[in-house]
Amino acid sequence: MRMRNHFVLMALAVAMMLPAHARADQFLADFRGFDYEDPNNTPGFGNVGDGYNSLGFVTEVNPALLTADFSNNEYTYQFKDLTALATDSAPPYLFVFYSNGRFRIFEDPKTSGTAADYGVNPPNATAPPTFTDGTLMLGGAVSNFVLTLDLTNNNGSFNGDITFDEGTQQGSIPPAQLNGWTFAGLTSGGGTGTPTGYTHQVDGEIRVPGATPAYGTSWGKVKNLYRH
Amino acid sequence: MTRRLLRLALTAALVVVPVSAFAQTGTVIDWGPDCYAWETGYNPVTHISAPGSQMSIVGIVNQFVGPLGSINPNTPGTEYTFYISGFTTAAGTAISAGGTLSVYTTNYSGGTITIWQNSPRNAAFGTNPPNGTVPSTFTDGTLFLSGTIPSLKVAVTRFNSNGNWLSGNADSGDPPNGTWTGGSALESVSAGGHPCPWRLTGGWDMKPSDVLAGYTTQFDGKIDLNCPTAATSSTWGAIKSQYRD
Repeated sequence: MRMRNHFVLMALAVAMMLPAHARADQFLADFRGFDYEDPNNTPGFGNVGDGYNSLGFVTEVNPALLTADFSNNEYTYQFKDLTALATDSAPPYLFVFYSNGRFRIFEDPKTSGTAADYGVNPPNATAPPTFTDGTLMLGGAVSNFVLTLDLTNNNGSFNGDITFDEGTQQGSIPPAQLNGWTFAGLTSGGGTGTPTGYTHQVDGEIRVPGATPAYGTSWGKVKNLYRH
Repeated sequence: MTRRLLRLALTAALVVVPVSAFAQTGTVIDWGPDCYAWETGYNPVTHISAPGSQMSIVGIVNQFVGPLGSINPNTPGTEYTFYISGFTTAAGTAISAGGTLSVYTTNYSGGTITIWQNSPRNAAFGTNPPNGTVPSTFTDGTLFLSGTIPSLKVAVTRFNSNGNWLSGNADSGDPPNGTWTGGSALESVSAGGHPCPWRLTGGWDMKPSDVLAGYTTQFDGKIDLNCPTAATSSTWGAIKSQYRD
């Protein structure tokens, strides 16, 4: 009996860590680059069977989730292995649905590494190689990748899910936040500085589900959660 | 005939020819997650901006590139912030409907931008702008650049089934039509004494879990410069010599 009272007191006093309501998504990385199709079996962009690729630079990371030293290292990204499977339209817009692919972030020392170089008409001798050298920092499987293209000006946007499963810093992201997603705006034409052979300038982000914080409570309140 | 040819050749050798080409193009100002937009006439249920709705944007620069590349916007204690205002949609949002996805397009006109350098870093978004810190903490310090943006087209893809946001982009248009009008960095974004035209573009994120309360959008964008190389004087002879071995 005494033991039971002790348990009750403990139960009333103990502070438990319970998850709170899920918070907003968290920023993981900011990127800017260019895209191109390879293979490009059919003239034009976004035709079924064509492969979507994007290369560029990571310009900012969330320091709470990834460690980066932009002073001494170059951070580059790559989207690859995305094949156009189907299209739909809402004139003047075209929607392109892709197969699963892969996203990767690389870290390369500025002094001893090779500076990323887009070159022209990718793939070429420097692209992707100079964007995929160094240390594979984080990578993941891309799924549900959909691209919207405005056929009046060749601008657009994309969205896809990313499940992180590789890289030296994969472990720094809590398991509950490994299922992230990406979005970007795609721009073509004047001012973008798009190298010959690339199609769009790409500007976007990687985001992950928000951390689910814990908060203190008592056994009594926990038990109340299960009462009608 | 021979004299005429000689005279023509002599004139050609002496004439001064201005040489110009568009060269320095590409991103000069970039920002990431720290940028949000709000609007006076946006309906979050229908995702429609009403005619006359005004949009404003505040943000924090995270990278300078090209002619501004020597400036580190992340230097501790210093921030570069911007405020875009005045964008008004005359027609409101139009919907292009597809089978499973639709695109919500809104055209705005009449925007202005100011970019500020400030110490210390005090920019705070808060909620439900305008508020006590927006736009005020994004427009304090020293004027870095100011300009006008005649137009902005926002295209947002949504699911037909539930209206959820899928993706989006914003673009001020091609050819670039932004005009720099002032600020301490005006010379750096000019060529031959004339401010270079520029373009505002980027990803337009309207996923509710990514957007602060009272804002409509998280805008991951940038400014691209479309700068002509400064004209230089030359002679036909000098130009022709460039094509000789």
